[in-house]
Amino acid sequence: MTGLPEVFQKEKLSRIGSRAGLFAALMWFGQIGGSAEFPDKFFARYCFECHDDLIQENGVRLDDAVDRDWRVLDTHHFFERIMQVVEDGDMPPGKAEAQPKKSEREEVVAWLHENLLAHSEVGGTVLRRLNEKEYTRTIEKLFGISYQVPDGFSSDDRFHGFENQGEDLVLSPPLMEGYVESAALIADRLFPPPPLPVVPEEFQAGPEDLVISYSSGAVVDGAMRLASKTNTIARSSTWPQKFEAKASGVYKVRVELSAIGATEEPFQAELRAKPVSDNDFGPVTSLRLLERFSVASDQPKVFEAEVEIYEGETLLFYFANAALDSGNDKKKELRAYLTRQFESNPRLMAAWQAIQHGSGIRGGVGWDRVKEKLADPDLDVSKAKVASREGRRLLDMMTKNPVLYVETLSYQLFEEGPALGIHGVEISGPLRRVEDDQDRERKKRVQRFLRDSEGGSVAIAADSDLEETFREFLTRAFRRPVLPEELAAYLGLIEDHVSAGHSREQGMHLAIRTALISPQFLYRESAIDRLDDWELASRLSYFLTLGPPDDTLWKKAEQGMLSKKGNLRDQAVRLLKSSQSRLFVEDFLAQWLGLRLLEDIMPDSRLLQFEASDRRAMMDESELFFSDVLNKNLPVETLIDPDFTFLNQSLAKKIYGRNDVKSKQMTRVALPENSPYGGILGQAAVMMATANGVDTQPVVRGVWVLENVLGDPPPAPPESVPAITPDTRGAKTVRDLLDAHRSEESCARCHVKIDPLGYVLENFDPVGRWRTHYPILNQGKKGLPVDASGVLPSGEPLHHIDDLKNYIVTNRDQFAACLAEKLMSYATGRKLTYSDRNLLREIVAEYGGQELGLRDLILTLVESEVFRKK
Amino acid sequence: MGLPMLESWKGWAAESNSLGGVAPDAKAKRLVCIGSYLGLHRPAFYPKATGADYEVTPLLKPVREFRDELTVFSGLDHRAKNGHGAWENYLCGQNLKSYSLDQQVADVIGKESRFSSLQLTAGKNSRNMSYTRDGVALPMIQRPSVLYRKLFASPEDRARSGYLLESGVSALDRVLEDANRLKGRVSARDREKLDEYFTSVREVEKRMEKQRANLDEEVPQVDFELPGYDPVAPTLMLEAEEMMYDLMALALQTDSTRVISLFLAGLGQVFTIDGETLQAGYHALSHHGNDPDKIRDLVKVENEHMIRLARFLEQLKNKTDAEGRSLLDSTIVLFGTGMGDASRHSNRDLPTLVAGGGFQHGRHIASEGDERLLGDLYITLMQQLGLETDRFSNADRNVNDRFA
Repeated sequence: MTGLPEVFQKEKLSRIGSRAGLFAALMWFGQIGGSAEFPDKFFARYCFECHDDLIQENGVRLDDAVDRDWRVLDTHHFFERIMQVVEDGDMPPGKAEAQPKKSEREEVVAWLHENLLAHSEVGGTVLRRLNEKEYTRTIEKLFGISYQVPDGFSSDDRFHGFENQGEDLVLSPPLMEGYVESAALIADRLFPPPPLPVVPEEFQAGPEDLVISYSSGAVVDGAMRLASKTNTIARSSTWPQKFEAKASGVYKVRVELSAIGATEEPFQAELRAKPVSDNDFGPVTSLRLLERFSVASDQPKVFEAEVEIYEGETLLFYFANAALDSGNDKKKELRAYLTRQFESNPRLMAAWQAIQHGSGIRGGVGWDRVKEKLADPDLDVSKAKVASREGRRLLDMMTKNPVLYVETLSYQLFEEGPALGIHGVEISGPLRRVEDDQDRERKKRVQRFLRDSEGGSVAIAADSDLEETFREFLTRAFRRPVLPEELAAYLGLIEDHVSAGHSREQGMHLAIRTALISPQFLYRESAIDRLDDWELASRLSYFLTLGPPDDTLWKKAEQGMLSKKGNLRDQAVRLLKSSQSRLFVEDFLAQWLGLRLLEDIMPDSRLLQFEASDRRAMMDESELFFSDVLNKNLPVETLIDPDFTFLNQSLAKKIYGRNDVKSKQMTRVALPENSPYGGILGQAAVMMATANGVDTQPVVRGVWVLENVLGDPPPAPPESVPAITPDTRGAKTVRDLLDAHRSEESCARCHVKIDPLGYVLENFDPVGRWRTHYPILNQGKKGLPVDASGVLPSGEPLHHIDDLKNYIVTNRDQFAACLAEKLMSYATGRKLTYSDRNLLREIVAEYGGQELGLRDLILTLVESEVFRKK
Repeated sequence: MGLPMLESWKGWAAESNSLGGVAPDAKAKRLVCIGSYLGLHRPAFYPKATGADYEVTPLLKPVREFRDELTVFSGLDHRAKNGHGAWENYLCGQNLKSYSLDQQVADVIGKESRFSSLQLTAGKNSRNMSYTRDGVALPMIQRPSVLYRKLFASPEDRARSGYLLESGVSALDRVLEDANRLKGRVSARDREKLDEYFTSVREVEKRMEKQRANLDEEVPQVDFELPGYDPVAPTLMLEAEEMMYDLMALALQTDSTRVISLFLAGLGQVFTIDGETLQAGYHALSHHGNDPDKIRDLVKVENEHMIRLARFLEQLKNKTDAEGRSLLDSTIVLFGTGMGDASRHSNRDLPTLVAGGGFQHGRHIASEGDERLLGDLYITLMQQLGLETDRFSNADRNVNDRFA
């Protein structure tokens, strides 16, 4: 307890569940009435010195507080803030001469509590537009397709951490135009415009007309040569630069191939179908295999086949049993290959030993360097022994980064073989048109849309069929039974279109794209006060599955069951069990824990070699962990202080320094007794999301904990305060810089809360690894020691992350109320009102000392008024 | 492609904002921003001497005929982060994903033309280059055939667009009825929220009507033959670059647009230049680690970029605008990058070249140590285009004292 003003050390009123009781007690004693007077005497006596019309310190004035308009939300925020500082004893400041008595404080707090309750309601979600994720998933469910919005679609804004908040989901003209465009694209998936006629073509390509990327191939002696079977298109394959099928059909293919440096085993030449515009970094094996030729002779030979190539595809060549492979999972093979090469040719090994290694050895340039050494008569071969220490070192180096070395090794094989030679390609066609995957899928979709089990004939005979089709479609699209007049209007639209000379399909195309831009489709939750069955079905479904209601939920809504007590809970139980709840976990954690930020953070390479798979593993850890707590209904405090987590070998080793996890898959593992890791305050993903990839900022993490774990967000800092610039020379810790920053009293008031929470997390580096010293990145050495100690405003000392975890577990209800608020804000799409939050606090308080499971909490919340009211 | 020949919603800003006016006597009328993903090897680009008497460096050789119509800048950057991802600072300034130079310009001078701006790429774009005022990255067109159709639509395309627009307007009328019905049964706050919907629908309706009217206007006729294939194969990137330049010159000549950005990609493709296949992929070459052979090959590729730039400048010089001025004289061509040194992923000291646009050219202007930012040059460019502005990202000066 050093240097803290006395005022911060005093015990604060227990916040949860106590205000109402206090208020009742005060009423009983007749100290304040139901129409209690505005506490202006209190304000005048203790606050005006700094907060009247003249001084307005920090922009706060209380002299006109009595006139504030309760209909304005700002008034609520204002008084809540006042209540908080009075309750916490932060105001009036310790230096002030006049200090209120405890009972005076309680009186003001009780008055504010009453008025905040009286002036706010449970509920108040504003009409919610589907956000981009919900929109996409709704389309996918509605049409049974996979869908991505077109490029340039306006993205949604985030609002107090969530991106599904009604108020903030604005509709703008550009977005509306995006919806119009998107709707036409979706309707095209069912009823596309007729294709233009395609004339068959003859296409020829020589070896020079084939693509080379990285070291995928080279033209030597009139043949394109392939030597690697790496499963990445751009690293092993080739295809004609100028061929792209203009229509899906059967094409005749003639290719001239040879096996250069033929071995006993014939070369496997694979022809695969590659979509021209696709990313070239995908796996070869994901491409449709068209034909496989066995090539045994080193003399060119013509191979022929008739193959199906779809519109937009080209013909890819792949040497399926090549000698080289730069896959990271093929390091053993590469080592064996090099061992064979070097054992049979020590001069080659000596040449590799003699060259300068580094980024210069990539590609043919690298092979030229090796050849120069090979040609050197003075080449020292005395150390060219695979079994020696030097030999092992060379092999270690060459297999450590296979991509780099295989690029160079390939050039040797291009010259000497084994290499698959491609001497020429001829493609003619289409000989006849074929249905491609897209056509087949479309047929199924149309069938489904028309609810036709016969075979997707587009010709619909009777108007009654059309009526039924659209009754069903509009009902699903609007997520409630379509009204007769609405149905009639949509059928009229089709009819008018057909009378104007368009086809039935065009009429349906128009009706579909119209429905998809209707407010009935784009918005949900239009009730005035309580949600009806249909809207409850949607709210629950979007909450737990990110998409529209499924058949079961639909039926329950039809029967009017959901508005009756208990049924919503049963449905929530069912949805939480289903695989779709994974989407809830992903999306909720992305927003609550800020995991979506991970995609934009690239840890400094001086800290560690970070790969995309590490990021995925970190997110998996957090998601699997939360799911496990949820599915097993473990107590909510398990989220803070668990004895298990989920890891795979790489994550365990790289971040948590554990060598005992062998599984490549994420697996549940126990945490040792004294482990600082585990839980949302000890997970790599959270620690990375609350840092910036380079250094940690205790203020950011402290604010994060206050807002997302303790439910006590500090106000935004004044704009005039500059952010702290880290001292990269390592002479000062962030703490030194912050402490200086905190000398201002107005800063200190918030920082006394924020900083200890940030400091105690300082042992976690920007990717969540435990550290005892700060690094000096440029010099790669240890810097100053980490000092994680601090004192909470309540007087609780923190020395180690365990202290914080214990504190939160002891004050479970505070954490549970915060979690409940986050869950309900996410579910209802609104910033919760004071009354909402009061209700949540009461719900949590009802559990008293009993165990509160995470699933139980969600189920209770789903049944609550907070969830059921708009 | 939903509506193949219509400008997308990105042109919205042109109608919905007022960024300050455009001076009527602006010396330049058009802006082309070319961004090379892997940059240019600075020692092969920067002359040693500054001023007008600089020596022609290897990478300036292809454009030497335009010596008096271009200026080389060295030492400029945005003081932004390093790394591949930070390449995008090129047109955005210090902060990524912010309102890019081309869009700031397009929102003011793009209104008059059919497309307020065009975003193109030669090769697959691994990065974004243009960002709207709201920080939305704009997609780029990679296929010359798509650009061609957009600019000079075929009759089939026009028929389809016309049909979608015409029927689209009746769809909007229909949903306004839905919205009115909904409005009748929601709370006052929700009615306010629904106003967004009404406004948006009406705006889109107006816009679609305007587009329908434009459809009937004559599509410019140009003498350009589209090849039977699209150069999307990575090894055809230089060919794609050439075709994009040809179409860009036509787009400017026909006043289809006044602002264009072109991204020059740089992945692993192995180029064949003058019949000789290089010994490593473009990207691998850029990580040259100072190996002289790799640098030689890298400069060969960059030389090809400069040859194509020279052809583009020549086309602009030979074409005239509606006022009879040479297109080059009234078009600012900015060739630059967000990558100062690809081998080290450094984004400091970005090699930059400006041609045309009615400036006094002919010099190498070095900005070592005088605190001038690339954004200061951008301010000068914007002013030349008639924008009344004196800020760009972290820059608030200009370079008018040395370049006007």
